[in-house]
Amino acid sequence: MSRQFYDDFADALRSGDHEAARPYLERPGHAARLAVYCNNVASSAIEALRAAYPVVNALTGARFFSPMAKAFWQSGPPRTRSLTGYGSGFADFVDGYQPARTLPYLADIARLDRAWLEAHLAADASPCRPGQMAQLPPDRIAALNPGLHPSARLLCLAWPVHGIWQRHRSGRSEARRVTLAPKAQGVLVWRPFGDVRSVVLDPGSVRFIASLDEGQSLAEASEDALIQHAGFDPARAFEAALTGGYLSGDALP
Amino acid sequence: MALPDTSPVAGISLKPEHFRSALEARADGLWFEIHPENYVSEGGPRLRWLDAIREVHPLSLHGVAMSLGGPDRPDPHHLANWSRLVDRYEPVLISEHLAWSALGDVWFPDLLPVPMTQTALDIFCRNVDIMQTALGRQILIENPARYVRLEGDGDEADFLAETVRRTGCGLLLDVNNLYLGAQNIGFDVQDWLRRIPADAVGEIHLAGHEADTGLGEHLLIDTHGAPVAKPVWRLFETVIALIGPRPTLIERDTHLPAFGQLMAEREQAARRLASLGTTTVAHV
Repeated sequence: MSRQFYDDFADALRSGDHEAARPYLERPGHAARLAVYCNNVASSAIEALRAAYPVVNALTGARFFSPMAKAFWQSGPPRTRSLTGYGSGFADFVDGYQPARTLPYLADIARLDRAWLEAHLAADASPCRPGQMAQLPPDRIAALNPGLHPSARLLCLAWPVHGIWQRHRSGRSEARRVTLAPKAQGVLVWRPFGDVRSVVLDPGSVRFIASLDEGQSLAEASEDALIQHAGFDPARAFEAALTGGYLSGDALP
Repeated sequence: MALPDTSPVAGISLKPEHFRSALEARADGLWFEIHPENYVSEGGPRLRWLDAIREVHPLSLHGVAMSLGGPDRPDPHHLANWSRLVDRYEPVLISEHLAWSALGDVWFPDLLPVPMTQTALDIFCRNVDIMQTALGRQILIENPARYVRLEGDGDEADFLAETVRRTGCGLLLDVNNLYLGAQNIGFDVQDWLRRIPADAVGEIHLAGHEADTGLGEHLLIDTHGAPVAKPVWRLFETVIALIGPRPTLIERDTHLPAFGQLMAEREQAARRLASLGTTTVAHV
């Protein structure tokens, strides 16, 4: 059987229209059976997305989520041999998905779900601990550029949805009407030890953490944040980074 | 890693929902099987759970994405992921399917039908060989769940037997697939069993199937979403009476029941295996 068979079969799977594969059947009357394959392929992708974006699914409902996930899959099927981590572009897709245009904050919910998943799957690593810094003189500490823990994901959201997202994520959500207005919100999502954590950041801390992520030293990152946000408190931000465990434990003396 | 010294007799496919129960479960010959595709992350709790479970129970790796029956060579990145998992978990058995699921760099997460022609056989054997060479181990190949016959399809048992002969791979005999394939496309199960090389069978799978919602009993679907059906248990008895006992696994993927229910099904398999003598890993 030629390459054409695989190409035509793949077309049938993508479109869900099994006519393209009918000529390859010994009994053309069995064409309806090809729906088994079409359904399996689409539903595997849809269910993987549902598991990866649980709060998007919870807020929109399964009947809204499924066609949205299917449309995403048709525009970008898995290109690795695993559904673990599939759907990296889903938030941007949601942003442009016409039926979701009345839910402009939904893409930010998807960004939080995605950050949670990436933190969950990231390499295991010990974060920098307060005790490791205690021995060092202050000027040595200021010159360190520890970088972020490998699980850390810094988000700058357009809508302040972290609270809503977190309540759903932890199963503490109750049905109630929430009024939302667009307002920037910085969020850090990371997994210092066993469980994924998240925290809302003030704008200075967002700048501080973004600078550390770019490889700047603690002194440079503090200065940078202070220039842009006069109210920024470097000592408090540093303390929060250490106790929270979102600095990398590597590259320390 | 200290490895358990028990030989696999009757096992269960492992789901994250059952990690704690699996870790705590104790039974002679109990083992667990995973899909390596679900464990390709760099880190995270899932790998840690598997580390812990591996210390008490044997593990097997059962792949669904190598697309050995596809026109392309096995994906080097996916082979590397497999190698990493084989090194980390030292599985007692490893297996893949007579199926395809990838074309170019696009993966279709399902087990798609391979045309059973001479050309396809050549490509399939090449790919099995590449995978075995990359892992430095024999793999078992599972017989497919058949829903349609493709134009030019030859005999499935012959296709599998020839693959074993050419590549030195073993077979994973999925009794549910055998049963529903016979129902769906009509082939003689007894003839199939006579024609596969019995010594090459290194593992048996048991699973539940469901009738297609549209086509009814005319089409049985390998959903892994129900308990093992009575006729499949009977066919299992026929199989082990004919070829002898083999490590046997209960597969369940959807409508996941409580862990205890799967242990009870696994116990049913273990009882049937014991009544036919000691289970041995096939020497192939």
